[in-house]
Amino acid sequence: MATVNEDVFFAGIADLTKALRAREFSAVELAHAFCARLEKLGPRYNALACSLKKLAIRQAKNADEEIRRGRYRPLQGIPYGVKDLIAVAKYPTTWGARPYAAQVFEENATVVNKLNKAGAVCIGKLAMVELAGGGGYRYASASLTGPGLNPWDRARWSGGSSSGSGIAVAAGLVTFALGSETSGSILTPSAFCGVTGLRPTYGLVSRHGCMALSWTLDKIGPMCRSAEDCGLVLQAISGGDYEDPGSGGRSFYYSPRFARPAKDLVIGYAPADFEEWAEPSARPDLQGALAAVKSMGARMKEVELPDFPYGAILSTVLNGEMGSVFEKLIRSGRVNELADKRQIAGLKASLDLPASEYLKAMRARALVQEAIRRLFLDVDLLLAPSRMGPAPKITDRLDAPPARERPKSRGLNGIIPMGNLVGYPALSLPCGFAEKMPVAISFVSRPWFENQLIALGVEFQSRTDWHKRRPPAA
Amino acid sequence: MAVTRREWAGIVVAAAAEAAGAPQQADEETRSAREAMEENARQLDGVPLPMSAEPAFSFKP
Repeated sequence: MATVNEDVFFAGIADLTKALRAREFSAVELAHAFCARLEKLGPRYNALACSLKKLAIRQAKNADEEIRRGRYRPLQGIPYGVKDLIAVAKYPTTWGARPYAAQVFEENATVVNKLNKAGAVCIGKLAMVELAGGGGYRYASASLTGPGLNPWDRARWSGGSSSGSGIAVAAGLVTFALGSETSGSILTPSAFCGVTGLRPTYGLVSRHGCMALSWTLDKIGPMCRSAEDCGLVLQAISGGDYEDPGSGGRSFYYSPRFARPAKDLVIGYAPADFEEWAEPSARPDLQGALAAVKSMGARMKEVELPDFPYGAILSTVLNGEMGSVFEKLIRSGRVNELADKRQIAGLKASLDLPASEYLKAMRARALVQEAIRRLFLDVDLLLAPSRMGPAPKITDRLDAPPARERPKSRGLNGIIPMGNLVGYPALSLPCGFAEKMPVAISFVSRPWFENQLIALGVEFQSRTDWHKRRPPAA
Repeated sequence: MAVTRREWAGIVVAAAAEAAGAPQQADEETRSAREAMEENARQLDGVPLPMSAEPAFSFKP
C-alpha cells in the first residue's frame, strides 16, 4: 500500500486528481488515510458528527475501478465532508440538535447526488451549530457536538454555523466541505478558520434534502483550500432542481479564462472598514490585503452601503420563516432539549412575530434589492473584511455588545445581512493573521457572477500565500 | 454512605434554589428575545415604505 504523506492532507483538488490519475496512490488508500485522520482529529476539534468510512471506501473503490478503465470524472476520488444538515441516505442527519439526534433520511440531498456523480468520496458528516443557529445563540457551545474548536487555537471558536466544515478543511481532515449560509454561516467559519469559502447566488445550488431554516435566505456552498477549488466544487453542485422551489434553474461552468482581468473591474470599498471598523489587531493585515487588491490594477471606488437596517430586516424575515419551519418542535416542547438557552427563547419568540412585521420586512427587502442593484451599476464588486477581527474565545458571549465606540462612517457595515437579503454571491479569502488567528477579506459580486468572483480570488491567491498556511497543531 | 440531616437539608435547599432559578432564567431569556424582536420592529418602522413596495415574495436575486 502506498503511503500518503502529510502534504496530501493539505493538497488542492487539481494536485490530488493528478496524483490519483498517475497512480501515486489509489482512491481507496486516500480514503483510508483521510478517514483515519478525520476519526482521530475530528473529535479533538468537535468537528465530526458522523464518520462515513464504509460509504467512503465503497465510493473510493468505484473511483479506482473507473480510473483503471480510463473513465475520468471531475472530482473523482476526492474526499469531502458535508455539514450535518445535508442528508446522506441511511446515515444520521442531526441538524446539530438533540431533538433530531436519531433522524435518518432515506434519500440523499441533491448536492450529495451531484457530488457522487462527479466521483467525489463522502467521508463524513460535519458538526454544526444546532439548527444553524436561527434562534440566535449566546455561546459557541450551542451544538449537539459541543463548541467548534479552532484548529489554529483550540481556546478559540471556529465560527458557525458551518463549524465542522471550516475546521475540517483548515485541519486537513477533508479536501473540501459543503456548508450552508442563511446569514454568514459560510463566510464566518471560513474567515475564522483560514479557509476559502464561497456563498453562491441564491438559487444556484439546490437545497433539496437540506434542513430549511429560511426558505428565502438559505444557500449551500463550498468551503475549500483555494478559490480555484471553490470553482471546481461549485460546478459540480450547481444547477436547476425542480425539487427546490427556490432554484434559479441555472448551471455554473467554471471558466475563469473568460472573466475580465482585475484591471478592467471597478471594486467598491470603504476605507473606514479597514481603518476604523476593523479591530486594531486585525488592521495591519487587512490593510495589507487591501493594498494587494489595489496592486492588481482594479479601479478602486469609495462607496457606502445604502442606509437600511439590514440586520433588523434579515432577523425579521428569518424569525417569520424559522417559526413556521420549526413550529412543531417549538409547540411540542422538545425545543427545550436544545443546548443554548438564548436559542430556545429565540425560537419560542419567533412564533409571536406578527404577519404584518414579516410583510413589512419583506417589503423593505424589496427596497434593499433595488438600492443594491443601483449600487452595482457603479461597481462590479464590493470588498470588505469578512469579519472585523479574529475568532472570539470559546467562552466569550457571542451576543455581547461591541466594546469599542461605533465609527462615524457607515462604510460597508452590514454587508453580510445585506448580501444575504439580496441573494448575491460572496467569496471569503484568507488574508493574514491577528493575534495568531486568521483574518480574511470578502468580495461580493452581482448575482450569477461567480466566475468573475472566483477569477479575482484566484488572482489574489496567486499573489499571496495565506491560503496555504497550515494550523500548527494539524 | 450515610447522609446527615444537615447534608440532606443542604441538598434540598440547593435543589429548590436551582428549580426556582431555572424558570427565572428562562423568563429572562424570553424577555431578551422579545426585546430583540421589538428592537427589529422599531428599526423597521424607520424605513419609509411606499404603497408600491410589494413584499419580495417570488424571491429571485
